[in-house]
Amino acid sequence: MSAEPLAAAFIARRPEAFEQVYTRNAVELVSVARYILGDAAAAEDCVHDALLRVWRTPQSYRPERGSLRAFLIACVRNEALSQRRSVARRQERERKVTEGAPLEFVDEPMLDRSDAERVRAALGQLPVEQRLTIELAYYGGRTQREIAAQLGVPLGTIKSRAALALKKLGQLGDAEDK
Amino acid sequence: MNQHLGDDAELYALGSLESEERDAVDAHLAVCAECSQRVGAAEETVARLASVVPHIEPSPELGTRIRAAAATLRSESSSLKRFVVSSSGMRRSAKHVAREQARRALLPVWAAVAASLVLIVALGAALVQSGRLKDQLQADDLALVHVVYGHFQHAPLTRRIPSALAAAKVLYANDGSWLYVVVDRPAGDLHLVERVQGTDRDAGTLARRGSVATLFVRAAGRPAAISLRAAGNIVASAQLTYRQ
Ligand SMILES: [Zn+2]
Repeated sequence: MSAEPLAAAFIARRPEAFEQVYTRNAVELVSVARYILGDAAAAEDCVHDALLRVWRTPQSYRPERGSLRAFLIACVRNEALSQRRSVARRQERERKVTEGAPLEFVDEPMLDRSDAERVRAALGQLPVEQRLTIELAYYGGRTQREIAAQLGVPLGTIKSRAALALKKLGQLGDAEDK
Repeated sequence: MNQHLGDDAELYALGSLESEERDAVDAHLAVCAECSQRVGAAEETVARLASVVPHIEPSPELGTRIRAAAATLRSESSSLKRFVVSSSGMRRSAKHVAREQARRALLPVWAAVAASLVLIVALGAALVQSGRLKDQLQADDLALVHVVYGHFQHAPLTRRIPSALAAAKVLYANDGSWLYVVVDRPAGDLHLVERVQGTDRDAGTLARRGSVATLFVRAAGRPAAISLRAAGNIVASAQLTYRQ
């Protein structure tokens, strides 16, 4: 089944569509969640919850919104980010010193190396302040308000900078696809 | 219909809106095809950014769990119709919220460490590129940037005076360009002394943060040994060996 009829079958809640959507996207979704949550088990719970929420309300995905894959990634990221933010807020309140937590750095394969190179190249073409804003938002998982506070820049400036940067990244990607 | 989303479309796709702002966007998306399209385009870009994320295989159990839950949901579909009609898409049931809260409470402490590390990596990437943001980074952040981007070894410090500290470790660059000392529960102020080419040099006082004290030092050469001193006495030390 190609991507478009699959999305239609998914909205129609056909079980084989759910199965295919899961099989096709599981690695990417779990990897995205794990990157944000730092823990494989928490990432799987997160993907579980996010996918079932979408399955429960398949109308939340509208075809004019774009690919089902991008929509699912967005859902999983949001689920993971909101979990992480609530943990971070609790930590902030408790001001706990982390005890004996070993930091491990493991060489792991990227989801897609050629794509990763293109993403890095595209990020590299952004002006530094736009790049930093995007990285803090995407890879740092910060809200606009947090980024503004962190960089000491007005919220409105940060918001338009982040939006502009993402639009530019989109154009860079489109240009390379052609 | 109220106003279109504007920049919030991209910020929503990035996941960097506050939760009340998200809810407003969800409500608008339910009725506006034009903004759905704009959000969709932004989500495609965000999905592309996911390609630099390290890849892990989900466990087979996840597939089993999700399939079982999906099958259950499907068999309940008649009762779900009401829920679907009343929902703008992303709203949660009370039961779900309760489950989420229960699980959040179980998240390990180091999820937060990983979170701050990710931020530091993000900052570090820009720092490496621009060199402009150094002042905004605390010494510990700087250390972590080097840990993330550099190649390093580590060694425990041997305690000479056990009451002076609980434990200590040094992380140091393979090329000797930096070192980072972490001390658990120091009894008082500690100085770091490094020995480079037979000469001892005071590298500074460790900074206390909670029960831990740390110091990040850019080294001039490859120190052969380091020691921690309290009131002039050596309380712990380590020999540093280098691979190349
Ligand atoms: Zn609109």
